[in-house]
Formats: sequence, C-alpha cells, structure tokens
Amino acid sequence: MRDTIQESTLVAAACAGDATAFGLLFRKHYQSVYALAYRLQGDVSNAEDVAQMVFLRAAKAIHGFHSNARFETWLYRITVNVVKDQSARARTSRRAIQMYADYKADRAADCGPVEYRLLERRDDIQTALLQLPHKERAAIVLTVCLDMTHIEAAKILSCSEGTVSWRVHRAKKMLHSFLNNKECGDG
Amino acid sequence: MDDRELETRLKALNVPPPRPELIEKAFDLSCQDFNTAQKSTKTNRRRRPIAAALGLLGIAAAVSFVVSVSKDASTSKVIQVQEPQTRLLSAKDWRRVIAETQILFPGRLKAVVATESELDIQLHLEQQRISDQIIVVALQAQDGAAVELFSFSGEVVETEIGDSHVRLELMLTASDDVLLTGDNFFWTIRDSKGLDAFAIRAWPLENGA
Repeated sequence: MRDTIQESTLVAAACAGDATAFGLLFRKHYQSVYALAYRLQGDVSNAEDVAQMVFLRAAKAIHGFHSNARFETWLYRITVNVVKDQSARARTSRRAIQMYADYKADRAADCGPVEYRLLERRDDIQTALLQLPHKERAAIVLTVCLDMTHIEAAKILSCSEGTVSWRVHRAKKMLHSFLNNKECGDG
Repeated sequence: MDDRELETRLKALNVPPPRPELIEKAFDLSCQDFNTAQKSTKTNRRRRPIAAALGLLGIAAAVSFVVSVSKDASTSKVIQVQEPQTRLLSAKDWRRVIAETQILFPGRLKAVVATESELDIQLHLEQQRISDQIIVVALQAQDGAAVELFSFSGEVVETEIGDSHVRLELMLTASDDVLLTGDNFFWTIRDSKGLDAFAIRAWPLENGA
C-alpha cells in the first residue's frame, strides 16, 4: 500500500515535470522492463536497447499518462510495442538462436554430462520461446513468466481477455510441438 | 511433458543482468529527453492560443472542402454495394478455430473476429447456454478493410472495421437463412437496407462438420 502511494506520488510529480521523480521511477522500473525485454528478445544487448528506448519514449510521453492506469502496466505496454516495432525482429530472433547454439557448444566442454543435460533443457525452452510469433510470445511471457492475470496482460497487449487466453493456448501448443520435435530429433 | 512442467520450465528461465554502464547511459539519455520534453511542453503552452486559432481555421477550411466534395459526389456517384472479395479464413480453418475455442472456453464463447493480422476472441463473463447454430459473417468496408467473424444465432457482436464501429445481431431463421441487424441496417441474402458503408456476406456453418 505504502509502495503504491509512493509510486502514485512519484508519477504525479513526474507528470508535473519533476525530473528527480522521473529519475526515481527509472531506477524503480528499469530492471523489470529489461527483464520483460530480455524474455521477449532472448538477447542481452537487444534487451538493453529496448529498455533504453522504452524510457526515452516514456520521458516524452509521460505528460499524457493517465493516473488511473498502473505505471508499470504502461511501461510494459511500451516495451511490448517497442519490441514489436523493431524491424529487425526476425533477424534478432535468428541471431539469438544462433548465439544460444554457440553458447551451448562452448559449455559442453566445461560441464559434466548430467549438469550439461540440465542446462540444455533450460536452453531448449528459451530457443523454443524465440521461435514463437511476437503476439503469442508476449502473451505467454506476461502470463506465465511474469505471473500476470489474463486481464492484466490484455491491458498491456491492447486486446480482450479471451484473445490473451487464446494466444497463451496457441503458444503452449507451439512450444510443446517445438520441444517434442527437438526431443525426437535428439533421440 | 504436460502444461505444468512447461510452465515450471518457463518460470525458471534465467535473465542475465544488464551491463551497469548501459543502465547509466539509458538513465542519462532518458533524463535528458525528459527535460527537453518539459521545455517544449512549456513553449507549446505559451503558443497554444495561436496554435488553437490556426487549428480551428484549418478545420473549418477542411470541413467546407469535404462538404463541397461530398455534395458533388452524392449527385454524380451512387455507392455500389458488392459482395466482399476477401476470404480471411477457409471453412476448414473456421471449423478448427471453433473446435479449439469451444474446448478452451466452454459455454463462454461469444464470437471470434478475424482481421488480416489477428484473431479477437470475445467471451461472455460467465458460462451460459449458447446456440449451436454457427454463423460466419464477412464484412468489407469501402476502403478495403476486411473482417470475418463467427458467432452463434442470437448473439450480438461488436467489432471495428477500418475506422468504423459495427454492432451486429445475428439470427438464423427456420429455413437456415441468415438475418443480420445493426444499428442502422439489416441484411439477408435476398435483401438489405441502410447498407452503404459495407459489403456483407454471411452463411451458416455446420458445427463440427
């Protein structure tokens, strides 16, 4: 509660032009924006770029922010849109997948077989996540990785709750399919 | 692997930390932009009365131009309502979507609206008895924007097409004819009234066929 009050005070001050309040909001939310960007992009460097772009957009648009919305929800909406807008999205995903393949190959030499198998399972799901279309990926990252309700995710994705449920359902189906194919391929 | 294990694995995904120097760079740049935006907002506030006056003049000029053009158009051109040209989803795709959404949202599914880029799933807040008579409707605006939707007989569906908001009530008659009514129009395969802005095609779809 106290946190919410403090946040709404900061947001009101930033909307009124207080640069210190904006700076504090940046410190408070940068990590969560970056984490969402990373989960959507699978690449540290791209996630850092996205997080920076999100706060640049927020700095310009904060005067239009409506105080009845949650500030974090607003930032997440900008994050999803920035990721979507990136014209090099497809290339980014391919690059991230390649980076994971290289990373795994490097680690194979450093780990024991059991440890490597565990790490590999975790990497497989990241690779599968990156192969999802943007809308399905955003829906599953928000609802499963970030534990949001479908209603909260719907506000961020600017669609109905039912559409979020549908996208999550589709994403899970695609992930199962990618992972099953991978296991069959490995087997 | 079941859904639960998949979710556990997704939640366990590691996020490497960002580089501190890039956090600071983002902080400096966004604070700079914040200050610049502040200055320009203040300047805009001072200029607002002049800008508003110029804006009003511009709007007045645009309105008079549009009125004169549409007067000419209304005398020389009758809008032709044609059958929609697009077919966003095939009957097979519709049946697949219907089957999956009915399993996913038992008793809550109100409509599925397909545009060229996505599906919008519209749900009832609570489970209820839903007709098993499925109707597919294709709408096309004059500017080419197209929407296809499926819903059930007796449902009221709202959607956006281009810049317009459309509200449709769907009915299937005893003789399997589709009847659509909107705020200012009605449509059947044989007759329509008040339909200038859209072309419509609608047909019943056998559930689970």
